[in-house]
Amino acid sequence: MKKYLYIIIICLLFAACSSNSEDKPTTPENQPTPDSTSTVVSENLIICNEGNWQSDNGQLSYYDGTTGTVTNQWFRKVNGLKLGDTPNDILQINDTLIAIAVNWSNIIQYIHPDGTACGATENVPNNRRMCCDKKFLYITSYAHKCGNITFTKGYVAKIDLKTKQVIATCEVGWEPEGIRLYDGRLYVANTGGYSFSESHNYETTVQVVDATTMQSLRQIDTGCINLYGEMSQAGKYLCINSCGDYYNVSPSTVIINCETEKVKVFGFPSTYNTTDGEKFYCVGSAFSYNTYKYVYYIYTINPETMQTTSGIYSDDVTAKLKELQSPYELYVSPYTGNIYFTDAKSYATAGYIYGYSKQGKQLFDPFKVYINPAHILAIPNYKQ
Amino acid sequence: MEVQAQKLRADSVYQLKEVLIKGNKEVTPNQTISRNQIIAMPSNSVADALKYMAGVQIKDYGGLGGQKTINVRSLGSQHVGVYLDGVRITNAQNGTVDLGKYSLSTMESVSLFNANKTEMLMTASEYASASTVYLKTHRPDSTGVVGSYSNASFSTHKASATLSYKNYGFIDASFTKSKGDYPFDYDNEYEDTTGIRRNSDIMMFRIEGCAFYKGFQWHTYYFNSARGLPGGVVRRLTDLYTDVGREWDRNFFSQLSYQNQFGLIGVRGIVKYSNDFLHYRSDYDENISVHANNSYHQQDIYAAWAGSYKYKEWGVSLSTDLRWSDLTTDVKNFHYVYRLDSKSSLSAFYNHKGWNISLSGLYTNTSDHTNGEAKPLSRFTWNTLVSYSIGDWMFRTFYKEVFRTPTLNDLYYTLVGNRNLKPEYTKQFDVGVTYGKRWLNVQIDGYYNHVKDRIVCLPLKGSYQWTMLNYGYTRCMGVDMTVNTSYKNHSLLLTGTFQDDRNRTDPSEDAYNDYIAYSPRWSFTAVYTFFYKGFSASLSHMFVDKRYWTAENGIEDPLAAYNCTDAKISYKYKQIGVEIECQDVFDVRYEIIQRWPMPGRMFGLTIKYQL
Repeated sequence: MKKYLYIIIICLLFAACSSNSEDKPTTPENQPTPDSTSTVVSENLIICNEGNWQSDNGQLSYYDGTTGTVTNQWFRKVNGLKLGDTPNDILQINDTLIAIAVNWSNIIQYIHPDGTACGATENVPNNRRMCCDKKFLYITSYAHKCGNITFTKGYVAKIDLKTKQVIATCEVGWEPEGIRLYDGRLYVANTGGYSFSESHNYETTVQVVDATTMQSLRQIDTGCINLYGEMSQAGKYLCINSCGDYYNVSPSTVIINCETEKVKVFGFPSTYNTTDGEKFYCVGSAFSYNTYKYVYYIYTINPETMQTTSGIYSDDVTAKLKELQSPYELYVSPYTGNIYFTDAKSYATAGYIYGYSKQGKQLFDPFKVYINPAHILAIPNYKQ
Repeated sequence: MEVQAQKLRADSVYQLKEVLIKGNKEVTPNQTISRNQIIAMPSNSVADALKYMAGVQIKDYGGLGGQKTINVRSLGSQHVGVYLDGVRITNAQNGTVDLGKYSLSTMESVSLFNANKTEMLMTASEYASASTVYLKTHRPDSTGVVGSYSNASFSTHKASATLSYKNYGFIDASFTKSKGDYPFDYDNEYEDTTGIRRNSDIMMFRIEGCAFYKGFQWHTYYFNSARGLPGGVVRRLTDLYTDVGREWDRNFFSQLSYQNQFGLIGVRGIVKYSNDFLHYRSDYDENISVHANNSYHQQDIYAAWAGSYKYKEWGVSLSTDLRWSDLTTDVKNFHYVYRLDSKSSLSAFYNHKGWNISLSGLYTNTSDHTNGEAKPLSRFTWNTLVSYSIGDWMFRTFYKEVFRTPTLNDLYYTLVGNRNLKPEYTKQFDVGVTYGKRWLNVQIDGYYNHVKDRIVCLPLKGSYQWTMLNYGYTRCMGVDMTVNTSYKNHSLLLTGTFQDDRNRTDPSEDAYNDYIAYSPRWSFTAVYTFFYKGFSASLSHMFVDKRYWTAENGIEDPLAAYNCTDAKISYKYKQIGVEIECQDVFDVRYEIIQRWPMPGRMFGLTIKYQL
C-alpha cells in the first residue's frame, strides 16, 4: 500500500551517498583546484545529513578544523531557517559558492563557505546530483518537467551561476543519478530506479552529453543495471556503482575511461566510493534475498593498471571501516588527502563521522552529526 | 466506562439473554462510551469517541481524509483488534483499521478492553489481540425515517438518512464531500510557514444495514471513497509543487451471527465475507515523483463457532474459527497470495463469592500460499485474569501474552518484503482497582508491557535497499485512570494516562532507553454532557503532552504539547433537530504526526428531520 510505496521510494531516493566535489583538476573547466602555492594548514568539514524523507529535517553539520568544534543544525543556526527535505548532494562551485540539491523540497540552495545562504531556486524538481565548471552548474533530475518543458525520461539541467536560472536542458535516460564532466562532455549515469513501479526496466547506460550545446551525443552501455550511487572521478576515469537487483543480478563496479569510453567491470560493489585523484577507494556490501546474507568489500582500485587491492589506506583505517555498523559516506579531501567516513548506525539515530590522515593517524575523536550523514565537503584553511 | 445505572429495555428479550450469557460481571479493565454520550459529542468517525479513553493514542494524519489508527498502551496499532459486533475488522495486507471509515451514528457503544473480555462464548479471534475495541451496533426500538444535512468548515457537506423498522433493523446511509484546503501554520523562531493544505479533499459514501431477529444479527456494510493524499509539509519556496497522490477505497462486508443460550449451554456461530479494494495513483503528468498506479484487491471469508457450558461456579468456553484471506495486486513482482488462519481457544471460568478467575489458551496456525511463501506458523499463547470484589470495590490483575502475525505486506511486498519475519510478541501485566456506585465509577490500573521483535523497515547495510526486519524491543509502564460520574441530567467522564514507553533494543545504541516516538508521557481528557428534555450539550477537552518524533530524543525538539476543546449543542423540537458543533474551539494548531498538521478550528451545522 501507500506506506510501502513510500518505503521503496526511500530506498532509491535518499539512502545513497554521492561523492561530491572531489573532481580532480585535470581540465580547465573543472572547479577550484587546491592552490598549489599556499599551504593548507587545516580544513573545515561540512557534513550534509539527509534526515528522513517527508520529515523536513535535512541538516548541515560543521566541523571547524582549527578549533576542533562541531556545530550541528548549522544551516539553521547561521540563517534562521530550515534547509528542507532530503538534501541529496552538496558541491563546492568556487571559493565563495556552494550548492546543495535539496531533493524532496525541489530546491537548490546556495550558500557561502561560512554557511550564509545566498540564494535558493525551485527550478529543478526532484533534483539529484551535481557537477560544475567555472560558469555553469549541471544537475540531474528524475522528474519529467522543467519549467514549461516536459520530458519522457529524466534530464540534466544547465544552470547559469550568475543568474541561477536554468538556461538549457537535455533529456537523458530514466532516473539519471551521478554526473561528471570531462573534456567538455557530461557523463550521466542512468539508473532506471523507478522501474519497481513504472513500466520501464533498469537502465544500464551512461549518457554522454555535450556540455556546451546540451545535446546528447551517445550512450555507453555498461552491461550493468541500476547505476545508482557514488560516482567518483580521477582524471579521465570514472568509478560508478551498479546496485544489482538483490536477487540474481549481483552488484558490480564499473570503471569508464572517458577518453576511450571503454568499460571495465569488477564483480564487487562500490556502494560508497571516493578518490584522491589517482586511485578509487570503495566500500560496499552485496546482499541477496536468496541467501539473506551480506558479503562486504573494501577495495582500492588503480584505474591506470586496473589492479585492485584489498583494504583502504592502512590496516587501521580498513579495520575501522569494517567495524562500522552502517557505512554511509566515504570521502578523501582533495586538499590534504585525509580520509573521512560516516556511520549512519540504525538510520533513525544520529550518525558519526571519523577522520584519518593518509598515513592512518586518527585526526579527531569520532563526533556525532545527524540522521543519515551522506555527504562531506572539505573547505581548506590556507596559511595566512 | 458506563455508569452502572443504565436503563434496561424491559421489553427486549434480547437484552435479558445478554445478561444471562454474561453471568459474571465484566472484570477486565474496560471503558465504554455509550450512545447518549456519542450522540451529544461532535464526531466524524469512531476515532472521535475512542480518543477520549485512557491509554489510547489516535494517530491522525489530519483532515477528514487523513488516516486514523488507534494505539493502546503503546503496543502498536497492529496489536489492537477492532471488533464490530464481535467480528474482527481485518486487513490481511497491512493489519491496520482506518477508523475514519466507521461512523458513530449507528453505534450503541464503543468500548475498549485491555487484553480481552472475559465473557463466555467468545470466539478464538477475540483472544488474538493485545487490546480489543468493541463497536456495538445500535438496535432500534421503533419505526421511523430520519434525514439530515450538515454543512461544515472547509466546504464540507454531508447528507444522511436512517430508516429503522421496529426493533428488527435499520438501514443507514451517508454521503460526505469535503474540499479540504484547510489552512495550516508553522510559526516558530526558524519557520514561518502559512499555507493551504492542498490535495486533502475527500468524497465518501457509506451504506449499511443491520437486521436483528431473536438470536440472529445480520450486518452488511458498503463504503466507497476517493481522496487526495497531501504528504508531509516540507520546505517550499512557492506553491508551485503539490504532492499529487490520490487514493480510492471500496470496502464491503456482510456478516451473520447467531447466539443463543439453551439452559446451561450456550452456542454461537458467525460467518462473514469481506471484499476490499484499494487503488493508489500518482501517475499524473505534473507529478514530479514516481509514477505509480496500483490496485490491491482483498477478499476475506471468516467462519467461527463457540460453545459454552456453565455449571454452578464453573464455566468453560470453547471456540474455533477459520479465516481465508487473499490478495491480488498489479504491483510488479508481487504475486497472488492467500492465507489460511485458524485459531482455537479454550477458556475456563470460576466465579465464587467475590472471586472471579479466568484462564484461556489460544492456539494459532497460519499458512500462506504464494511464490516463495513463509513457513507456516503455529503458536500457543495464553492469558489469565483474577479479580476479587467486595462491596463497591473490585481488585484485579491480569497477564496476557499474544503475538501478531506479519502481514502480507511485511512478508511479500515487492523488494521490501521479508518472508523470514518472525511474529511480534507482546506480554502484558496489569494490576488495578475499580470503585463503583450508582453515580460514580473510578477505575485505576497500573501496567507493564513489552513488545519483542518489532517489525520495522530499515535499509540493508551498505546498500540502497530497504527491507522489513525484526528489530526492536520496547517496554512500556503506565497508569490509566478513568472516572465516570453522573448526577441527574449531567454526566462527566475524566481520564488520565501516564506512559513511560522506552526503547530497550540495543544497549550500545544512542537511542537506548529513549522515549518511543509519538508516545506522550501524559494525557488527560474530560467529556461533559448535559441533557434536558429536547436539549443536549457537550463540552470535551483533551490535553496531550509533548511527544518526541525521532528515535533518538536528544537530536530534535519534541512536538509541542497541545490542548484541544470541542463543543456541541443540539436541540430537538417535535420532528426537527438542530445541532451546532465546533471542534478545536480555541483554534490550537497542532500535529499528531510531525509535518502533518491538523485543521484547527472547524464549525458544523446539522439539521435533522424525522418523518
